[in-house]
Amino acid sequence: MIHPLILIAVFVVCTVVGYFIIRNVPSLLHTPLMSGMNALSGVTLVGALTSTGLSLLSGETVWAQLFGVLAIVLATVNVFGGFGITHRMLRMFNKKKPKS
Amino acid sequence: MTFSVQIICSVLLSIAVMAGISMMSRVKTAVAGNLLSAMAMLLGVVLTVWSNGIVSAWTIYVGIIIGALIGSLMASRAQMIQMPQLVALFNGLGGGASALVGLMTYMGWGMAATTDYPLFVRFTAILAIAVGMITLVGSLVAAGKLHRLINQRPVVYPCHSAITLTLLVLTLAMIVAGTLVGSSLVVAIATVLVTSAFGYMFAIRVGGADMPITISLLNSLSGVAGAIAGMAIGDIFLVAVGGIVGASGLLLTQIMCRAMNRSLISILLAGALNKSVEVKKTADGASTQFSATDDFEKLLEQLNDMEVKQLLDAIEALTKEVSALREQLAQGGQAVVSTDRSEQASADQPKQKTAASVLAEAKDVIIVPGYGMALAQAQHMVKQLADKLEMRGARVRFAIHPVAGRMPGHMNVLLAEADIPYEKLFEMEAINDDFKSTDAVVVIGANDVLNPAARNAEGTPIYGMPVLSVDEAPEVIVCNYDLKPGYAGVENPLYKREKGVYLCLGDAKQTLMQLINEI
Repeated sequence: MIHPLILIAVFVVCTVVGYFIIRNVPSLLHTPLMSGMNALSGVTLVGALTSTGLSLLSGETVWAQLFGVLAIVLATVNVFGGFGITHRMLRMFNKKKPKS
Repeated sequence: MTFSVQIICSVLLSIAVMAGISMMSRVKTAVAGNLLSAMAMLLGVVLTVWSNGIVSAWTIYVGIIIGALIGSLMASRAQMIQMPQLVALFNGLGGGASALVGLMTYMGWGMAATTDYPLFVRFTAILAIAVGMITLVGSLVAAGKLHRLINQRPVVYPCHSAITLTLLVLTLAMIVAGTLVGSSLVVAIATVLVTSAFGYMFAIRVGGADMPITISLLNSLSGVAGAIAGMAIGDIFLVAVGGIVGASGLLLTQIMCRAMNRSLISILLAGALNKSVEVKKTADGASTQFSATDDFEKLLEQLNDMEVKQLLDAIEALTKEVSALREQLAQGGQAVVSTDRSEQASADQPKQKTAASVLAEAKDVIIVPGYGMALAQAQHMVKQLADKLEMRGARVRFAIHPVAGRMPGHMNVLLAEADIPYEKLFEMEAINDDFKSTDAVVVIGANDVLNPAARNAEGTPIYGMPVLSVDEAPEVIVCNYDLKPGYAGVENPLYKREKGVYLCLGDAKQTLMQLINEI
């Protein structure tokens, strides 16, 4: 397993770098940014898959499967819903561009 | 696949996500940026499934298929008008999923081997449950408020702050207990209950115009919950992306707070001021104003087309005279001419001008949309108005206050949906100095964001909040539903200005239609 300090360091670095990258996003695009972040928060899918998959293979209780599949469903809804809506919104902003 | 390759892949994918977000800072590259992030996410999932050796675990595919169907359906069906509640809901789902991951890790389900750092894992796992549940329940309350399923006004229970504080202390106690005691279903369930109650208590007292801040904060928390869950299971990609989401939400929260000149604490802890009194007081005033404007509308109806045309001709003649006089003025005969002009202006203007005639004459118009436009779904009408004005040769721009609407960027999305090019949308700082030089301003369902009282009415909730300088414009047309104070409960003195303010009250869709027909 990765050392806890490395994980914490990754968290801090990404938060700081992310902060400065996102500061460049104009308020015009803040709603798409938020729904994009919705999609990214679905990244917890990675964790849900790991826990659920491993607990199925190691023969854990049915509860583990119930909670695990529920977590996968919630996270996947976020990923698909979030990226989908962001895509639709951004296309709306761009729609006029080719004509003019 | 070796462990180090897996880590390198995680780092590369995290960088790809960051690159995708950085591409979202310009409209042209934003679509590609979003796709890049999505692609990185897909690869991250594949990498996880493969490297953990869980390709044969069939249940995960069931979950993915169900989730993908629901998510795609929501993405294709959702209307732009529903964006605030949808974003709130998604914040909650992200938090809920992270809480479940935390729960599974805490219970030791699906841990491949005995971990080297049991304390750290238990601590982060129970913290993920806590943050995730607060996000889930808080977001559901916020989404319910935005979707008008529950009362939009702040709800304050007796001893609200004391209860909230107690729940916070209990949450911290649970985290300590969970870390020290070890996997215990009782502790896990207790944590879920306590943090759910805390999430409910903090979201239920936030309402209306404070929603943009709450949603941004929950957006941040949904990322943080994911990052903590990532720490619990030791996944670098999850920690990295969760951190980015957390930073984004935090930044937006900060921007929103600054735009309202309020601190986060005051919104979370003192959301409800003694508003009920103020609202009662002003409700009476509003009703009398209402009857007066009804009369005004009747009067307008009585005027037939001929009269309006005559009026327009008269105004045109007048403006010609004025411009002629201006030329004279430039040539030298200053003193005499200038008094002449002012006399004429004061004698002729007040009776003749109407909202439509002002707009028909205007060469430079600024439109100020607010939450009322979203409520009335009038964005397409606004587009028609802008088109009509532009056809008549006017320059039309839109002034967008950072907290107009119910979430960051809310107005921009609605106007983009109505095909209004984004080049015409201006942020407050970019356009605020132009209000004095513009010919006319059209306010559509906005109130607090242009209330001049924010500059001098000390002690009111909006005092010190930067506002659009609509009051500096010579002619202001207000298409609001009524004259009642907005969410902040502070009356807008602009409505009582005697000269150059035209009120078109009612549903924005209808008043705009009327206005467009009259121009």
